[in-house]
Amino acid sequence: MITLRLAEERGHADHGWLNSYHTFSFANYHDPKHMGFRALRVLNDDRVAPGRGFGSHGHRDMEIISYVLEGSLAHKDSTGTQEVLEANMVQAMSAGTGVIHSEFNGSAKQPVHFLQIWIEPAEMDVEPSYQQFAYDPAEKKGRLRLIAGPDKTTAEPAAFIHQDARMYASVLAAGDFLEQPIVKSRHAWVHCAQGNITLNGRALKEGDGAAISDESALQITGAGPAGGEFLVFDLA
Amino acid sequence: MSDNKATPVNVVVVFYSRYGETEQLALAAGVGAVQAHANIRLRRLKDLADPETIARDPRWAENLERMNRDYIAPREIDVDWADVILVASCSDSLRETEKYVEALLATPGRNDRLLIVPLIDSPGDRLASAREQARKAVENARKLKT
Repeated sequence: MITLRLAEERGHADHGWLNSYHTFSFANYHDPKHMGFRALRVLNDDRVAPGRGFGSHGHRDMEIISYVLEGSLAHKDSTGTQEVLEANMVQAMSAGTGVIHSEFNGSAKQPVHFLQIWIEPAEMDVEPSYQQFAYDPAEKKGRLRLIAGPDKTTAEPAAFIHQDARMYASVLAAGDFLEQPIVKSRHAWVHCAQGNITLNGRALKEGDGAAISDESALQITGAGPAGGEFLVFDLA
Repeated sequence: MSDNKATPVNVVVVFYSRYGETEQLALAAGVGAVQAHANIRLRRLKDLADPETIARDPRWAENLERMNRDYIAPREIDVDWADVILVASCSDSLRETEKYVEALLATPGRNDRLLIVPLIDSPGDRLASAREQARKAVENARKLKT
């Protein structure tokens, strides 16, 4: 079963400096029908104006992943981390017992476009931690590139999260195809980040999502005119 | 315990800092409050000193520019939202926080259950102490709410 979550049906908050679309309930957008999918709790599609950002705020017991599509994001947190995140880089924070952090557009000129993802942890009260890594964008072309998961060791660098969930990123040129089997009884979420893709025969444009249950495989094709970039979540 | 944690407690950490030391204390208190399952806001009080005085002290001016990006000053809606206000004063100048707390106490219609807690900058591990003070304040506020 595939249930689409269309971009235009998402929650939306335009604060001027921040233009945010919420796939699931977040902040002032609350819809009991859209509280997340399996362990995936938040998927925000954020554009932040140059020099602006989120001042210091707290998080607890949440795995928070930032995926930058365009621009740069400056991060600072109470574990002493201070980093700048750009496209083809991933940041993951385990809030655990509690962290405070701030995020700002690292550029005075360019807006930053990024996805913020919250995954509920399987384990509470873990020691807060921060991970960041860069990867070669070629690694996500035509295949699923693991971004975050519960495995302590991975074939290529990926963030460790405290949940039986995996997040992959991929870019498919128009006409390119990939197939990913879904282990029986597991679920998937697909989010089209940019461009256009076709998922098991259904068209997904930028901002569209899809909940997938009781299916044996994902069949994804890059659609015209320029293909698409998307995230795949493998969820228990 | 889980019922207890479910009671939301809102904490505003109000601080005045010039060189970032009190900011560190406020951040530690914020972490302590988050550890105790509170929602937090961090607010920096504006300087009472005139801009010329600040400009003569590059370290102050530099930190001020940074903190102005990171924090806004406390607003009325923050006070309305708060169950606890943790106040972190600056050892270089107590005027800013004193003035703020005086005005807060004089506000008509103020929530009479609001806890206003001065943070003590204790010798030794001052950040651990600030976290502990914040955790205790959250627990006390939670008791008052249940």
